[in-house]
Amino acid sequence: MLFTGCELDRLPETTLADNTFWQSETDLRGACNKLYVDLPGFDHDRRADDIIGTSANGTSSGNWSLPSTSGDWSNPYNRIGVCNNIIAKGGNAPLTDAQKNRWLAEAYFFRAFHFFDLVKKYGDVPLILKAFDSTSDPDIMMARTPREEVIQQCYSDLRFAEEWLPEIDGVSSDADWGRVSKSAARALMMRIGLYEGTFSKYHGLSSDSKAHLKVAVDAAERIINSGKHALYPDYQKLFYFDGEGRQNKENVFVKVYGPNGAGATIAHGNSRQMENGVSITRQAIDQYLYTDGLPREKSSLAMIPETHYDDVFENRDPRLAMTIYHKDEEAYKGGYTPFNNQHGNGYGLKKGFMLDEWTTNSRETVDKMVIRYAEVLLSYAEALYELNGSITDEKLDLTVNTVRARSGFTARLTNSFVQQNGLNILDEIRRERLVEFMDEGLRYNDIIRWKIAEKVLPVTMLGLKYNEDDTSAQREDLQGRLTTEGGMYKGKKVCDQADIYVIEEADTRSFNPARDYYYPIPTYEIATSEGHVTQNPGW
Amino acid sequence: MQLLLSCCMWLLMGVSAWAQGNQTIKGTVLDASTREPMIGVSVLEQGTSNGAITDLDGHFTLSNVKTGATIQFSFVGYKNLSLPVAKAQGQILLTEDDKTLSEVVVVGYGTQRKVNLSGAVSAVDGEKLAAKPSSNVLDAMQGELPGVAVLRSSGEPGSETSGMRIRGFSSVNSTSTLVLIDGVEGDISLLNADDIESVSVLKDAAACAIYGARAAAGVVLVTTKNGGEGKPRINYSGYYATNLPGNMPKRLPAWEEQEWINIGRVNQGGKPEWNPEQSSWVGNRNFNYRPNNTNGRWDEFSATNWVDEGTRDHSDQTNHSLSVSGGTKNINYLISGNYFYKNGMLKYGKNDNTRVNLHAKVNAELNKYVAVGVNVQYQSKKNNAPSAGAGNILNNLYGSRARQLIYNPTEDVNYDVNPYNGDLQFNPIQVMKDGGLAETLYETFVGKGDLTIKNLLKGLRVNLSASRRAGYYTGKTERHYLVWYGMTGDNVRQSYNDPNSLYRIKNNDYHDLFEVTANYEFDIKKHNIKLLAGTSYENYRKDEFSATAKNMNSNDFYSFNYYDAAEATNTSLSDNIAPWSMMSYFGRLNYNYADRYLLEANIRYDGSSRLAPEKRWKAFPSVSAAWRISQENWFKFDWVSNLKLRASWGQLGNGAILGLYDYIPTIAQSTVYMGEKSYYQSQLASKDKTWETIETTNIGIDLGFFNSRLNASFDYYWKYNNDMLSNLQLPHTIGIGVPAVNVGKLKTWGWEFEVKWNDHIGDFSYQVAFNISDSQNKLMEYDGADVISAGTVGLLEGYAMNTIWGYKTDGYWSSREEYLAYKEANPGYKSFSDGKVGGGDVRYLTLPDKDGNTGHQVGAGDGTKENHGDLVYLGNANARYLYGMSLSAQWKGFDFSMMFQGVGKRKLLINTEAIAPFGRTYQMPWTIHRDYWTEDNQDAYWPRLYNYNGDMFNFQPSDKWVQNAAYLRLKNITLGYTVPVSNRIIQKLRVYVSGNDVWEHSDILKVFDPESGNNVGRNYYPFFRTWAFGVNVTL
Repeated sequence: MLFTGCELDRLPETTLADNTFWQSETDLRGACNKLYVDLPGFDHDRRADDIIGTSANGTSSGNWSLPSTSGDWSNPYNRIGVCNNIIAKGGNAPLTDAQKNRWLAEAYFFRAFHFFDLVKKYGDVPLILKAFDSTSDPDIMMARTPREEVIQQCYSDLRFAEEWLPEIDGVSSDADWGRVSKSAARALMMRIGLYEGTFSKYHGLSSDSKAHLKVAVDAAERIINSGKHALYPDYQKLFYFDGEGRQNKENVFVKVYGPNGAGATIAHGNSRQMENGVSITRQAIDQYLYTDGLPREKSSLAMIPETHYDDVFENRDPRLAMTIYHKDEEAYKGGYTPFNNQHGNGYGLKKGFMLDEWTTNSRETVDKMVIRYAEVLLSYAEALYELNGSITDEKLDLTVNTVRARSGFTARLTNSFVQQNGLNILDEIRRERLVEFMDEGLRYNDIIRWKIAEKVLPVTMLGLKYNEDDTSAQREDLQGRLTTEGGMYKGKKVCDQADIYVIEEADTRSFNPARDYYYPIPTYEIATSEGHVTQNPGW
Repeated sequence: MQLLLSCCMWLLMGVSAWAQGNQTIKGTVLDASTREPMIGVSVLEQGTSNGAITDLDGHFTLSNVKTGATIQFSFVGYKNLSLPVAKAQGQILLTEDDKTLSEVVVVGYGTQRKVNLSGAVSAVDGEKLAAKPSSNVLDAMQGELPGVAVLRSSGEPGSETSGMRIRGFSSVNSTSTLVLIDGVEGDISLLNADDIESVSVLKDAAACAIYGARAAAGVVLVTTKNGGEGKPRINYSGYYATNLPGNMPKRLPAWEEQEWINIGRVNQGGKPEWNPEQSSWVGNRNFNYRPNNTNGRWDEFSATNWVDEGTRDHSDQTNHSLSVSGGTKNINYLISGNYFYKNGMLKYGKNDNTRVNLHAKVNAELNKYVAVGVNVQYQSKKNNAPSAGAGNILNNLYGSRARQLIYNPTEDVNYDVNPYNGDLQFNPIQVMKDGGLAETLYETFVGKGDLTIKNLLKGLRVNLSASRRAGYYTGKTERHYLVWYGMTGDNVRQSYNDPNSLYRIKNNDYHDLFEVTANYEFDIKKHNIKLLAGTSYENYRKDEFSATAKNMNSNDFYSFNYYDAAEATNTSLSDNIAPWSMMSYFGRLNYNYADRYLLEANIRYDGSSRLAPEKRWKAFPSVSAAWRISQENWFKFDWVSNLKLRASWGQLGNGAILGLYDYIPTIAQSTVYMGEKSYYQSQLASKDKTWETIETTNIGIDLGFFNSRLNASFDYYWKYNNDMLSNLQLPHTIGIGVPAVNVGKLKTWGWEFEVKWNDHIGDFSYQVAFNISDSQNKLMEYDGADVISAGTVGLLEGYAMNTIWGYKTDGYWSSREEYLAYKEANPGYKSFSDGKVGGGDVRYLTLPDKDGNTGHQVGAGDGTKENHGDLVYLGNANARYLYGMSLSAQWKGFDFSMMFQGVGKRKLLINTEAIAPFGRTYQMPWTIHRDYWTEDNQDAYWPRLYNYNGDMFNFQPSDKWVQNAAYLRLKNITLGYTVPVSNRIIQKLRVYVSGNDVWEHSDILKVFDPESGNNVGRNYYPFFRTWAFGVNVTL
């Protein structure tokens, strides 16, 4: 009564709020920046059979367990939450559709990106498409949506993104570089289509695998036909600062780090990781072809056994020498010496290692290619083959052979070559992915969708070949971990020669096909959804 | 002391000089109502020490009485009677003094006769608080009031207390006691104790509910003194005190430390750090260092006692307080000033606290209808501390290697640049001197005006008041860059504050309060009814600006005008404007039938800007009743002077945890992306969020015996926080931070007991008081708080807050062989750091698992209530049975008082790193560790010496390390003497010596104080023992 003039409303004056934000394109762009901050970047994926760490990886070795909570589940949902908020609130900004949609398209792109991430790990997942504004909204406890529905939503989000995002030339300025473009939307569509098509086919899902493969083929063709992309001429430099920016037409979708130098706010420790944490397994090395285009088990050029460390490079696909170090080659700290490294006893990773970045101590800023044009080409080849059961030499030249040739590998993959040598064209396309994208994070998803994890994971993980002359490590120190004559280890043949170091024994590894093709859903999520979210089989 | 003695002499001489009388008087003293003779009544010739005591029949004889003298009769519980000699003979009647019965306490928006209270209120006189040489008023309140726990943090100047907790926890979230100083919200620790008339603590819902949404943690009402009628009265009181550090670690001699290091390294499986010859040099006065050319450093063999080098053995504290007061019948005034200073124990640099208070108060009765009052206060608190933090410096003094030199050898190439040595650890002496200063200054101005309109209608009184408290805070922290090189000057051994920086913060805030209240009181026969209605509006606004600059142009000059502004990351700026407002309506009804049946009802209706408009308003009701049985006509027990039963119920709000805009979706800044800001909403806004509501019930009894010489009261209460803000456990599909919502539930219950006795034996009068209280709590519901881990578990559903969990132990392994044999016999058993366990390591026990199997690795199981593995409940870190006990006595001019205070039950875990000798290579052991395990000392308290290097497997939370933090402390002891000067200038002169925290008994490890917080670490700043010498003068 007495103080009727006294107001009780107090609004934030030094904190942005919904009523003061979401007004301009600058605001929307600022909100979208968060999407890039949260975009996963460098990660030496140790879940498959190619990259190995200093201790066993739970997923790779089958020694994983049911977690209470997990970032694998919560991180994508938090990022999807950010996307949904932009879509909901940015959609109400006082702007024209064209102004708004250019930014909403980024949110749609990333929503698809993160849902795809979830589907790859968990299969069916709750399809949350709204920004919650109350803790009592029943949809917070939504049950798992069938994966086909989630994937269709991803396609739909990506169609919106492809429609409204600029062509990649439109984000080529320094300020805009790294922002997603039509190319990124098409490439992600292709990736999802290929994943879902092959997964559905090999795991016998009820969904229409051909339809998904068609999505992949069409999306790949849209990129190829756009003429915006080409391979970078130097496979080695592709991963250095040389490969950054729009000048490298191979960049389709990159995570940008930096800006370079002391003030880096988004940085990584990729090179440090290479020195300290990861190496390549012998079985991955063995996948590299010989110069005659034949695999190790068929090629007469293969040196078995190797008498020196460097023999492994003899007559080999040039990409091997660009992926691992020669002995005494200037590496992490001086010359490379086998068995003398912190990263373990596998082959030392060279691809992407930059000494000047290493010295910045986890303040590295070289950009990460999330999707590069070579993947578009090889995925195109695979999708064509999976869709049609065959692929023409012409398409092989356009894809696999173009990728090989860029690195100076001249052996040509053709239908007749495959026939003559008793090879399988699908195996060769798949091998090409392993070799070309070594340590780029594709392998685990590939072995899952191809349903070959049960074959390649529960096996002996092999490391370096031991040669006394190449290392200061004493044989006695390694005794008991080296294969004997004929590649025998504990009574079993594990490789094709003696003195190969065994990093993990097959006994310690397992893969349960009835369980391990899907991640376990964290118990917290099941409990807090009051049982609406159900567990994956076997967990 | 000499002064005191000479005063005594002077007094005795004076007494003998005056004792020249010529008359003897005789008489009998009787109780005026019962006409019974009174024993032990003091009969005194005024202005002299000539006195007598009545005998068994009430008779007295007093000789040597001067003609014209005045005789005073006094007896506790009776009104003093002064009679001229002529009338002081024959039958003398003394009437009971109902002072105890008429005692008035301050309650919300008014006062109440204590006997008529139906709620739970405790009060303490300002005089009692001012009598102690405490570092602040809050500190002085410790132990004085049942149910009021004063939270002390350390002895560091200006950081001694962190608040108070009334009747245990009201919430797992933060709560804050509402402190009103003359009706204006303020900080009690900033006050001048000499200004305080009384402090009332409102404890139950009935007493607090008039303050509604902010009263859940109790309300403290501080009333300051007023001037009185009469000529100007000048009071001075002051003291000088010396502070001696209390419990703190003592260092070992360097040679012993070196020996231990060697043993520790050998036990770890390595080599001694130094061979016997090198070790023997440690502590050799003549051989402190030698060059080591292989590593370019000095080999150091010094014997530095860092604690002695870096701390004082005492520090100083002074307090001066001056007031002038006086007035006429219609107008009175009081003006006071206070200066307080205390410095700390660090030997170098500034580490002190200064407080200044000014206070002026004028009250005027303008006429029969209108009275006005003005109340103005200024308070300031200035703190200086090393920017490294005093605790961190102490941590280093307690832990640095004794063989490290303080100063480099003069031949060191770097000596001229930096003579200090920082080879093994950074040099805490230099950090104190040169590491930079952190200064803070908080000043607050309070102005309040009152207008009272009364007598327009009989019994009606309307009061209007307006006040503003304006605060100004300024802080400045300089972090100087320090670097220590090895011998050759090209190898950096340690560096500190790289890069250097300057941080400054300024804010100003104001808190306005407008209040109107109306009181109406009337009687209808024996029914007395009092009504109160009021409304208030509060408006708060803080405006803050802070900035940091790095890479100053000079390491010796710190200003924002001189730093490397070229690098963007060298600058950081931020501002913060924080407003809130609150509007309230409140009312109270008091009903009193013949002082026998008492009823009170309160309601407050609060609205706050912090809540969504639709959830903004809430009512907080309370009701209480009391029955004064002793007033009933049929009550015939004369020795019971007071018997009252009380009961109350009410609801109170807690809003301390509410943010300013919880209901508005706010946009946070995230990492800078490519030089651009990124924005997102990190947490869901909650429109449903509201105050926590705490429902409190209290029952109590008040007792008075023997004419109120013995008074006691007992209260039992229980309270439920039914809407406690808790973090909701929701599926992560929500995709955003989940706000706390009102879904938790906490139950707190406890009791309080207080008893006071005062009497006299002749002219020796004495008072004894004791109070004890207990509070327990149980977390009834808190979405998902169900994890048990080793250590102190703050929140665990179904348990009290802060339970301690640890492993069971059974002495030490006698050898590694014994350990291995045990493992053999118990397949699966495995202790911590299995490969290291040997003789002298703690033997952890495994408990049977669900299959009854003890052969497993010692561990926490699933960390759940169902399966917490080998963890057992080891007690609770909350203090229980808080008690205070005071004894005081007066005899002639002497006064003596002692106050004990303590805690009956509390467990405490000390930070593992703090007690583990060599927990880290930079954490040296202390003298308490001498009782360590060796083959010849298998009953040792401490395990074998071991170079743990961070893996403190012997110091897992366990029954072995949990400390009993119960204690009894001599909080204060005072001896005073009122010098009998009687002249026109000096009315009263008292000198005293007083000690605070001078002694305690506790079973805690003697290097820490039992009042230390949970998980106290090596950055512990000891509490002080204070001895003060003071004087009170009234002119």
